[in-house]
Amino acid sequence: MTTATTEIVVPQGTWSVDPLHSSAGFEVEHAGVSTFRGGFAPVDARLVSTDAGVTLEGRVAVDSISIDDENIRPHLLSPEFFDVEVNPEITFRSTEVSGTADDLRVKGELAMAGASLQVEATGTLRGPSEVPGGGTKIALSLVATVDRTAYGMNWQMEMPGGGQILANDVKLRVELEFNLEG
Amino acid sequence: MRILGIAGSLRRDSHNARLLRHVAGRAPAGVEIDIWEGLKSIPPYDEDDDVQPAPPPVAELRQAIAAADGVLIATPEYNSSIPGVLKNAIDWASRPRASTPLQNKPAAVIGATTGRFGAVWAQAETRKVLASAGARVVDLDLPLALAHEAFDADGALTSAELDARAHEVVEALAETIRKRERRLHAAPEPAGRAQQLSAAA
Repeated sequence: MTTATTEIVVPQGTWSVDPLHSSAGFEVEHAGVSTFRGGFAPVDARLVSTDAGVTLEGRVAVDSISIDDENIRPHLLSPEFFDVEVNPEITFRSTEVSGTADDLRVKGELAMAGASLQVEATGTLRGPSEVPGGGTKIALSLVATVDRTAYGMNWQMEMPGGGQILANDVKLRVELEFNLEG
Repeated sequence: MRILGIAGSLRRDSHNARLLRHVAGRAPAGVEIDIWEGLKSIPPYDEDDDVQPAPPPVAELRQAIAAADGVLIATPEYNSSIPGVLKNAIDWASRPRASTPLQNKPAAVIGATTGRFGAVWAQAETRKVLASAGARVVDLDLPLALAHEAFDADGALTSAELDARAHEVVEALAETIRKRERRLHAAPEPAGRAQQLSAAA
């Protein structure tokens, strides 16, 4: 279970993600010059806040990856990267939610490509906000950096002038808009 | 289970073909290694020729890989790397990329050379190429050096150590195949559909 500090104000309740207004993406330096971005959609997530604490869970389907290049997509799905046949999903389950709404810290287990590792994300919590027609929304914006090689994604190519074609550090960014259930 | 064996040498008296026959003859129970004989018929890769229907030898290679549960390649080493004929065949088999029968296919590589280094570079390169084509590659090799002295008159490996190592590679490939079979036949509906986290989705 998770303990929240008293600084956190996540309104109590069970919050379900609004997938249309949410996103889960990655950013990784490519060829030493650019930021290669992609994402997975839809993202499924739930935030539960009770007296006992706050938990965040989420998952995406690996085959929903936004890359559709006929060569790169199969390579990303293959055993050399995500190995979708063995690991159809990327999942996250928090172990600790702390900080404040403007300086949120979420620690948890990120399971991807057959490995499950502790990661720490930072970001913000916004809301609650009442919406037309009824309903209450809050939103999390979180970023975490992971080393893809720690997940066994070691593929690499050296560039003629030095350096590597694909960085090892990958920034993960989620924008999660939640509706209060019930 | 059926494994497709491919020797990367065209020579009639190929040590790699001999190695494959040795390994096939000693395959574990339930494992059949069928040696593919069509390497010489594969034309040089030319994308202009990579159309439907594919050249018949290419279509046969793709079908043979698709029908097999796994692939075992025995490669010589030419100029510190894979022979062109073998790389060429893998290139044909890997296209079109979106539908290659090599995607997720369990694969292993062994090799033989008359030199002293056991074709380890060619084996490593072949593993790299297969992984790039999407295969599920066993991370083992068989460094069979001095191949001209490694077999007896019946074509069997004389070294118990090499024989055990060859068996280890085949067993690792067989286990990869078995694990994959269990996974594919036991696959439940993806959790994302069966157990939605969010009520709204």
